[in-house]
Amino acid sequence: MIREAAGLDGEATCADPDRFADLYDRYAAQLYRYAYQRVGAATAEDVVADTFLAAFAQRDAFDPARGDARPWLFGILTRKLARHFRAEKTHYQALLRAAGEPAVDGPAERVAARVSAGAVRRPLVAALGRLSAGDRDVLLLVAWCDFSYEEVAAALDIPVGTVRSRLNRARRKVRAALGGTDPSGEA
Amino acid sequence: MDDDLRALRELGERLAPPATPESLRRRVLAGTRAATAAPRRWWRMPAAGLAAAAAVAVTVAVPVALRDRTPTPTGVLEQAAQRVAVTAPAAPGQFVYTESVLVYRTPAAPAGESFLVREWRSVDGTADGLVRETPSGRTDWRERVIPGCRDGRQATAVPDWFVPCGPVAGLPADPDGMLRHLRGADGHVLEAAARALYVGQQSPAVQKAVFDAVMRMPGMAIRVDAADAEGRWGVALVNRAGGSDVELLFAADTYAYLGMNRPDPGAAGPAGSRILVRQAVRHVAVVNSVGSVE
Repeated sequence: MIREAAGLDGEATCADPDRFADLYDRYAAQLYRYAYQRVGAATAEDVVADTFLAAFAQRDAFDPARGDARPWLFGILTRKLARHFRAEKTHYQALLRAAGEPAVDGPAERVAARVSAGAVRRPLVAALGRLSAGDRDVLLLVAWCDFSYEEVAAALDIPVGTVRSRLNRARRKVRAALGGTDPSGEA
Repeated sequence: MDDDLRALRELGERLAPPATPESLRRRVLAGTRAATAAPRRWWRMPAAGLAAAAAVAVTVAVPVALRDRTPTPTGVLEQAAQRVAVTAPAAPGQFVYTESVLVYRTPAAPAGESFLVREWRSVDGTADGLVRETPSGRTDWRERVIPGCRDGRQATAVPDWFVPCGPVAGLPADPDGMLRHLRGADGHVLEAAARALYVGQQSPAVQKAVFDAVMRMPGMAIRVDAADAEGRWGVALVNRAGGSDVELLFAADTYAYLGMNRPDPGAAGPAGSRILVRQAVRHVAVVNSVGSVE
C-alpha cells in the first residue's frame, strides 16, 4: 500500500518507467517550488530533474516503512541543493539587492506596504544567508514546506531531537535579525 | 503563528515560481526511460545533458577551458552561433512554438507588468497562428489568433507588428546582410538583434547570422552577473549606445540565448502604450500544429 501511495511499486516500476510519471505528477510541483525558492529559476529545474532521476535510480532502495515518498524525495533534493550552495548564495545576494531597491510611485498605502515588506525582507534574507546549511535546511522545510518534525527527521536522516535543536537555533537567529526576541525561550 | 515563521512564509510566497515548467516533466520522463534502456551511460550524464537529449536537440558543449575563463563577447557569440548552426530548420506548414515571459513597462506600471506568453506562429504564413497570454502567476488566459500571410505580410504576437511572409521573415541569413539590417533598423542594435532572433526562430541560418553580425560590432561588453525575467542567471552582452542600455542574455554554462533586458527604456510613453523591457525565452520548439508544444 505504501509503495502504491509512493508510486513505487517495486518490480512494476522497474519494468515500466512510465509508472514513475505518477510519482512525478504527485510531487514535482512541491519539489520545484522549494528548489526555485532556494536557488532561483536558473538552477531549480536542473536540481529537480536530477532529484527525480536519482530517485528513479534508487527506487528499489526506498523503504516503505518511512511512509509516503515526500520526505524521501525532499531528502534527495536537499542533498542536491547542498551542491549548489554558490547558486543559493548568489540567489540570496540578488534578493538582498532587490530588497534594497526603492519603492516606485503609486498610492501611498502601496508604497508604505512595499517599504515595510522590504524592511522585513532584507534582514530576513540576510539572516537566511548566514545560517548554517543544516539549520537552514530544517528551518525552510518547516516554514516553506510545512514539514512536521518527524518528516524533517526522515528527510534529513537525523533524530527528531536534532531537528528541534536546529530549528530553535535557526529561529532564534532569524528572530534576532528581525529585531525581536527568542520565540522559544530556549537557549 | 509566530512572527518569524509568518515572515518566512511570506518571503516563501514571494519567491514561489509562477508554475512548474512543462519542460521538466518531459526531461524527467525521458531520463527515466533512457536510464532503463541504458542505465550506466545515461545515469552519468548531468541533468543539462538529459534535457538536451530529451529535446532531441543537438548540443554544442562549451569547452571547459572557455567556461573557466571570464567570457568575452566574441566567445559567447561564437558559442551561441555554434549552438544554433546545428539545429534543423522548420519545414513549410509547421509552426514555431515559443513560451516566453515578457515584461512590459506602461505609464500605469512603471516597474513593469509580467506576462507568460505562449505563441504558435506559422513558419511560412500558410495558416493562422495563436497567442495565449496570462499575467504571470495567474491563469487568466486570453487567446487571440495571429493571422497568417495576408497581402505578403504575416502578423506576429506583437500587435500591429507584421513581417514579410516566408521562411526567413524577410531577414538576411548571412552575416553581411544581417549587419546591414541591424545597423539600419530602428532603435538600439541589440534590440534589433533580439527582434530578429524572435522573428527568425524558425531559421537557424538567421539566428546564426544575428550572432555573427553582432560579433562584428564594436563596443560590446560582457556583464557576468545578469539575470533574465525568469531569474535565470547568466552572462549579458551589453552595448551602451546612445545613452541606453540593452542586453542580450545567455546561459552561463552553455551560452544558449535566453532573452533580452532593457533596464532603462526611458520615458514610459503615452497612456495605453507599453514598452517591452524584458524577454525571457523559456522554450522554443518546431511543432506540426497549433496547441502542440513538442
